[in-house]
Amino acid sequence: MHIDQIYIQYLKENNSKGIQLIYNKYAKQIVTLIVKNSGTEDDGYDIFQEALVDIYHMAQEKDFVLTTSFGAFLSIVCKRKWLNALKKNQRMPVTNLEQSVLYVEDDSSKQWDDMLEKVDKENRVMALLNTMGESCQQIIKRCMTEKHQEKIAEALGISYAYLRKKKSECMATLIRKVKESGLF
Amino acid sequence: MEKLTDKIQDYIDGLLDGDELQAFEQKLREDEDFRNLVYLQREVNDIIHKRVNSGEQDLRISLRAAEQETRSHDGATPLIKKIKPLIAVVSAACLFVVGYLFFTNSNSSLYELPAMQSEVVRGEEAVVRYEEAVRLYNAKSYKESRKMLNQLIQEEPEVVQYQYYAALTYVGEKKWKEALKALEPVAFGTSIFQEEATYYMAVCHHKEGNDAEAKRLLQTISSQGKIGEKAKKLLKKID
Repeated sequence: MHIDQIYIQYLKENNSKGIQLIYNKYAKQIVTLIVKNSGTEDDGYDIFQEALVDIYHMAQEKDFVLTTSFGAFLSIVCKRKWLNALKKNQRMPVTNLEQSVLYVEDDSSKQWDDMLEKVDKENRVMALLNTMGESCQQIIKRCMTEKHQEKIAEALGISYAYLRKKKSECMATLIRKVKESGLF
Repeated sequence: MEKLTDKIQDYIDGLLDGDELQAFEQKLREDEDFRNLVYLQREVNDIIHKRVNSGEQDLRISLRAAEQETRSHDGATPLIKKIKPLIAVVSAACLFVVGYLFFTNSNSSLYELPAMQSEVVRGEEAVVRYEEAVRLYNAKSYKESRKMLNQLIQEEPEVVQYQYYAALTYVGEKKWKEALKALEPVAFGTSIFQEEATYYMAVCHHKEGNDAEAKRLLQTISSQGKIGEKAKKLLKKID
């Protein structure tokens, strides 16, 4: 385990002082990297925040162990996210991307590939869920967070049977969107 | 297909039992496509379950606070700087969406009522009167449907779904004033019908010639989902 595991712990515990330390130590370096690669300062901070959220999710896996410095790992996650954003928005031709300082083609990043891909996939499922109507989102999310569906139905002002029916329909719509996205 | 998907979610939620469970598991063993569909839905279900219970939203609050602190030391004005580059993107996106909606959709569906949903879920008996109300509503026999719904409202006044559809029966009959009166408590409530009720209130105001109020209501509806799209189209039409 690397000595920088403490930064992972700060994120896992949502330790505000620790998180401020992460920003003080690493934010400028990442923002500068993004600005030098066709991004704005706001893009830099957005990527930085989203990368920390991704690391937080990865750290929830019980076999997650930081084997490199936190800065190097954070840099890998940010570069990957920014490359994906650039490709998605076509803000830079692919050939330029491959020549840019962002291009990551070394062994240190490969060991994280599976985990990063898994987090990307989860992010995309959640993004698809967030494109659904407010009532579907509410039903699906509440059914996942609260144990007693009868109480959810009561709180939403609908009958239990209607809730189950609606949840099934909403999930079917989401699965259709997931299949159409080619994600799985 | 709809029955099949009903069963899949019930299976994942552990709500199938007896013969139904046996039949489902037999199909699972014999039909590879069905098996893959069930596995996919279970995987998506697990992802959402994990994410909504992960504490991500609390973490984001801390991250935003740390960002604000960091940027304030840089002498930046985070909010304005954050919004400015987005304005062009959002404007372009809005133009695209409005244009797309304008050219690809007709306005005829704007005033159409949603179909009333049946409650028949596998493994449960239908509530006879509700099912009759559904049948009458979907057959546009609004007055008769409302009569059944009003009985249900008397028995279970906390079930907003009955109030919502009862209110829509007035819309179906083009009784805008009565509809507004009946929709109001649903639109100002917190149920899952809140946005839909707001939308149909806007339709009623529009039909009554009160476009200012219709626009005001439409602007409160979030842009996601079908009702968001309908609200955007109606706003465009009123403008």
